[in-house]
Amino acid sequence: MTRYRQNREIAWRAVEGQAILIDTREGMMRQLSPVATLVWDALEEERTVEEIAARVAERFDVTVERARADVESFLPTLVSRNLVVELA
Amino acid sequence: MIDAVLPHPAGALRIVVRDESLARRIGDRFGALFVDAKPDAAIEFAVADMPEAYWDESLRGRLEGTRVIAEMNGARGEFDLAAGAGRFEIARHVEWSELFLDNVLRMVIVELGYRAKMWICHTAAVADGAAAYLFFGVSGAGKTTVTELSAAAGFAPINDDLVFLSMEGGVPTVTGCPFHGATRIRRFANGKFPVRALFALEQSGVNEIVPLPRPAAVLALSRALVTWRARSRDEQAGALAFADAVCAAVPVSTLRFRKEPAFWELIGPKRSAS
Repeated sequence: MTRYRQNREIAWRAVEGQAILIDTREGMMRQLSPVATLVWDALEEERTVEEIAARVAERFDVTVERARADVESFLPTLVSRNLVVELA
Repeated sequence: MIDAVLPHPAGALRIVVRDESLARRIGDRFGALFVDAKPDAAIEFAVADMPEAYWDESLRGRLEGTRVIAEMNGARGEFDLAAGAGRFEIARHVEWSELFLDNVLRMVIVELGYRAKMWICHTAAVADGAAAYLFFGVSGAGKTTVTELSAAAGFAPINDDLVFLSMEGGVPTVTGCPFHGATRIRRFANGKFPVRALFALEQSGVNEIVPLPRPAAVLALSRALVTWRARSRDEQAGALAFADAVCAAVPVSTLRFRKEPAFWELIGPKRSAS
């Protein structure tokens, strides 16, 4: 099962429940939504989609299926921007 | 020849320029800022033939340990931050070559400030005598306009483009720096000022202040903490932590403003002079 984690090149800080990310290679800065911040925070360690979805479902009181769909739609964006690393 | 001392927020820098032509142009540029003080660091500038050189405003170089290394096409050399000494060569026969020297000084003074826990910030700053107000934004946002309007309204300009920010006893504090933007102002307030408020500038048809949520404020201020070189992850994390601490201590708002000084009626401080 594919696992994901934060790219260690990214500096970040959570401010009032929203992560602010700085990509140290490009200097690009991004602010994540509260849901995205929860996903990001979970990825401080290697996680599967299921593990992340379980966290989101618990925190935001949605079904695991709904949370998984959201995570699956959001993760590729983080991966394509090289903010998150996809591990085998 | 110039052998003079340029003050900066983290100390005082002895500048030696032996070439007469370069010395004259540097005198025109920084002469008013030179002081009679004991320097804690020194830079020597010489001129050299660099046939391939042309004016390029980019600050090209790198930091290697404690060495600030300039690698511009018209300026080369290095400064050791630990030793407080360095030597650079500036291209001869390049129009605006004194600006290479200006860029070398920016690199060195920014790093000297950073070692003293002072962050260079791309912002305008003015003081009302007791405290300072910062107006940040990208080039063209109105920093110089705000500075000049504020000066005309009796506020003391600290800088229209760059300042140093630090936390002193938990209070965000601003100090001017020797480099300014396009302003015609040539006399700036000296000293340190506690920061009373920060504003992200937006030119508009109305004057309006809209408080920024803390995450957006931290993001905006982090963008203003500029650098001439790539920062490490730890340094970027430090910039975020610093911006967060500043935004926790003072209000940060978007200031939509017209190009006239009435925006100060919304901010409402006392004026130091008129």
